[in-house]
Amino acid sequence: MPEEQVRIAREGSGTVIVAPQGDVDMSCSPVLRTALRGEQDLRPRRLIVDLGDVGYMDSSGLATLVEAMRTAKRNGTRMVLCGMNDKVRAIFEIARLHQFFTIVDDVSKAREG
Amino acid sequence: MDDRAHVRVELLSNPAYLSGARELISSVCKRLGFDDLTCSKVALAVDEALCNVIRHGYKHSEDRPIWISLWPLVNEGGQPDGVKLMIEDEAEQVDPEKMKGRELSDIRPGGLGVHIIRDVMDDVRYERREQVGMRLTMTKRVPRCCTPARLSGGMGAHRGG
Amino acid sequence: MLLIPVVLWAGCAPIPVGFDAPSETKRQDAIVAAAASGDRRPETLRGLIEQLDSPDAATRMLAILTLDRLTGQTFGYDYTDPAWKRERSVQTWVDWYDSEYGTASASEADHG
Repeated sequence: MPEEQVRIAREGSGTVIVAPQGDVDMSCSPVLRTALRGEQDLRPRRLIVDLGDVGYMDSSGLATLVEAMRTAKRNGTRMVLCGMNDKVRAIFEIARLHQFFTIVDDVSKAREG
Repeated sequence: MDDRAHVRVELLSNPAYLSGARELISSVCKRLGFDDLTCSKVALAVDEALCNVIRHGYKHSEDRPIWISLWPLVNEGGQPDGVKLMIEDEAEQVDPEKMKGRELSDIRPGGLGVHIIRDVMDDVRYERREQVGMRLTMTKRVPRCCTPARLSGGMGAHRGG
Repeated sequence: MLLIPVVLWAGCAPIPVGFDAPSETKRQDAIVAAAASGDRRPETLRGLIEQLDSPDAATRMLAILTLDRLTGQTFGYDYTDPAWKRERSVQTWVDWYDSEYGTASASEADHG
C-alpha cells in the first residue's frame, strides 16, 4: 500500500473519508496509521474509514483502527467503518471487535450515521 | 508414510513477501477442500505467525530466513480433511520451560496476532528447533460444512494429525 | 499477575458468570456481553477490571474497550503496554473502584 493509495477526501461538513487501498498488513498499516493520525489531528466531526477497496486486513490493521477509535472518542469525533468484505469482517469477528465499532454498509450510510 | 512436506518455502523476513505467502497458503487450502472464508482465515493465521517472527524473533531484520512447510491431512477413510502448517525460524530460542505459567506475549509479544492464531487454528504448538530457532506447528481441519476436495493419487498425505 | 484486586475484593459479591471461566473465549464472551448490555453493576465492573491483567492481549483489549464504554474512563490503560506499565494503571482502576463502591474490608466492617 504505497502512501498515495490511502485516499483521503475532506468534505464540507467536517467529515473526512479515509479509504485505504489494497491489503492492510504489517507492511502497509503504518501508512494507514499515519494517514489516520494526520486527519485526526484536524479534529473532524466525523471520520469515515471506507474499507471498500481493502481485500485483506491483519491484526496490525485492526490495532491501527482500535487506536483510531480511541483517539476519536477522546476528541469527540464520530468514527464509522464501512464497505467491509466478508474476509475483512471475519477478522473483526474473530477479535470480537465488530461490536465496538460503528460499522455500516457503505459511505452514504456512514454519512447519515 | 513419507514425512516430507508437500510444500516447503523459504522466504526472507521482509514484510513485502507476506502477501505472496498468504496467496500461496490460501490457494493450496482451497485445493484441499476448505471454503473461501476458511482459506482466508488460515492464510491470516500464517500471516500473523510470520509477522511475529519478523517483529519479535528477528526484530524487524529483513534478511533472515523463515520456512513455511505444509502437509495435507487425511482422515481414517483416506479422505482429505485438513492441513498441517509449520513456521520455522532461526531467531533466538526461548526455553519452553519458561513458557509454563507465563504469557506468550511476554516471551514473543504477539498481541492480537497470537489470539487470532489460536482462534483460527484447531491446534497450535510452539517449541524450540533442534539446533537453532523456534517452530510453530498448527493444524486446521476442514469444517464439516465443506465438501472435501479430491486429491490426486500418490500425494501421501498425513493420516490423522 | 496482579494479586491486589483479588485480595481486596475477596469478600465482595461474586463476579458475574463468565469472567472466571477457565476458557479465554468464554471470558471474552462475558466481556462482550457486558458491553452489549451496558451492564454497569459493581460486580461486573470488578470482573472487567480483573480482566485488565489477563495474559491474553485480546482479552485485555476487550476489557478496556468495555470499561471505556461503560464508565467513560481509561485511566491511561493501554492493552499493548508491558506488564509492569499496565500494573500502574490497573492499580488506578482498583483505586477508582474502591472509591466508587468501597472495598471488601469496608463491606465486612459495615456488616460487623
